[in-house]
Amino acid sequence: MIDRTEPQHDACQRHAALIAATLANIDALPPLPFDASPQGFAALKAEGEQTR
Amino acid sequence: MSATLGVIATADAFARGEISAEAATAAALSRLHSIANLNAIAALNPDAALEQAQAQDRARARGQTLGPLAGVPMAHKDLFFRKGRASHCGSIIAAGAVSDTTASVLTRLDEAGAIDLGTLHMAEFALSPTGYNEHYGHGHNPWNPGHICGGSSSGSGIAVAARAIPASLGTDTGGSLRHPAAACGLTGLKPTHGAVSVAGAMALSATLDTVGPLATNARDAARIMDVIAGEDRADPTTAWAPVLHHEAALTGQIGGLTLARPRGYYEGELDATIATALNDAAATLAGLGATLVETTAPEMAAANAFAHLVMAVEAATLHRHWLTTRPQDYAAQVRARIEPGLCYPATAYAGALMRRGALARDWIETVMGGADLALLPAFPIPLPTIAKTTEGAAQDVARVIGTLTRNTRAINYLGLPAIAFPIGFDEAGLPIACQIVGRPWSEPLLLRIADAFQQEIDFHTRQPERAAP
Repeated sequence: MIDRTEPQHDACQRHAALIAATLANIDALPPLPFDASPQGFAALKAEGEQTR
Repeated sequence: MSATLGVIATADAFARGEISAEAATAAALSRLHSIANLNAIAALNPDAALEQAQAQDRARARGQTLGPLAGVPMAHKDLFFRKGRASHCGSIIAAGAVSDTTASVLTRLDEAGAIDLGTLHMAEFALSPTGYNEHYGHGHNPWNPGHICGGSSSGSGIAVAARAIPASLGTDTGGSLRHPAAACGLTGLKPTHGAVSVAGAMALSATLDTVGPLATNARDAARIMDVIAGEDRADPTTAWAPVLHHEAALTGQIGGLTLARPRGYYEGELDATIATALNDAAATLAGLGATLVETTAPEMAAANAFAHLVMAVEAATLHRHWLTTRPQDYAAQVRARIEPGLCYPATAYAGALMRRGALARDWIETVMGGADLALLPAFPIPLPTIAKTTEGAAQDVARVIGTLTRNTRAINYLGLPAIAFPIGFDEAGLPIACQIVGRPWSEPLLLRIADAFQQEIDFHTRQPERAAP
């Protein structure tokens, strides 16, 4: 459980609708494959360089 | 007045001895002062600029080899730090902070012989697509001061469109180069993430931030890209950056290139005038030899959600202290874009990074569909007035701003390069622009197609009469 400060809690309340909509869009995606990595974008760039 | 020449024209005239760097610099400073009503300037440094210019004049007199930007006066968005200089980043909070380092891109421009006149106005912490700045006043469009000039690189767009300076550097985290390019009738290149060093520039969202040129034409932008792009040890994201030859790629030939015209998402909220201009631009490019192919763009809900989430989380991390201690010193519109970042779960942020490569690959496969490049609208609607983006019900303002950025913001999450340039003018005399998006490292191709278009049609040469030199 995240222990939020009061101003932070207020901010999360203020933007609750946007945050919920954003998370709903993300939750609609299929599960991540088990080989997913933050390096996927770097790999795409490296591939682009090889085929350029 | 020499400041109204472009980048290459100024550099060539200087190299031929037709103008001095000092005269070009003095003329540009004078022009910048003459458009003060448009709110393009943050802080000029005429003494340092004239000193730089005199050094270039002396170098030429000695017969030294001149750099590719020798004698070209420029000024840049007020977030590129220079040692000993204060940058306010469009904010009150950062005002007065003096940097102890110089941005890598400024060092490269210095080494190429460019003259740095000072800093240009920008949206607060680079967080507005319109040029909105509650603290220092909104930027005004040189084509019509009542309309938005585009942001967040607002001063850059204004100053170049008014032909006060030949070009300027800006940044693009969700469209901040493409918006002023589109609004002001300029050419703005958002590079592949990692193509140009961001070291020594204010970070908004390191995963999305890019640095690029705003110029009157693609050829000038290419000259600047040849100077600023490439690996920089101070910014490890450039470690993969290949050596690209931007200006040399401008052959004028686009025969054999395939250009995707994505339907679906990119037709959404599209104004009929802009749709017509896009069709005309596509026809022009086809006439020059490009092959057009229709594709279908998927819904962009996930990519747009991640673009927002990554920017908000990274910005909130940087601003956490200030959001707590000085919340009143942020404009409400700006704070509202950062604050949600305090609230997202870490798994959502990590997921955004882990899905980035796959979503970029999907976009390339579906939207580009095997084509070399994709032609999209920049802004889908005619340029709104400043009032429409600042006054009235908050949800109405938010809707206009959301519409303005619907075609640009996800491109940063996908990390792809894109170029925006003018393809016409609407009935009100305001510019209409397209953006063309490519695969990673396709900047030379993007510049080539924009240059070919500009050799055919002269929209990019038109100047706003209200700010005429």
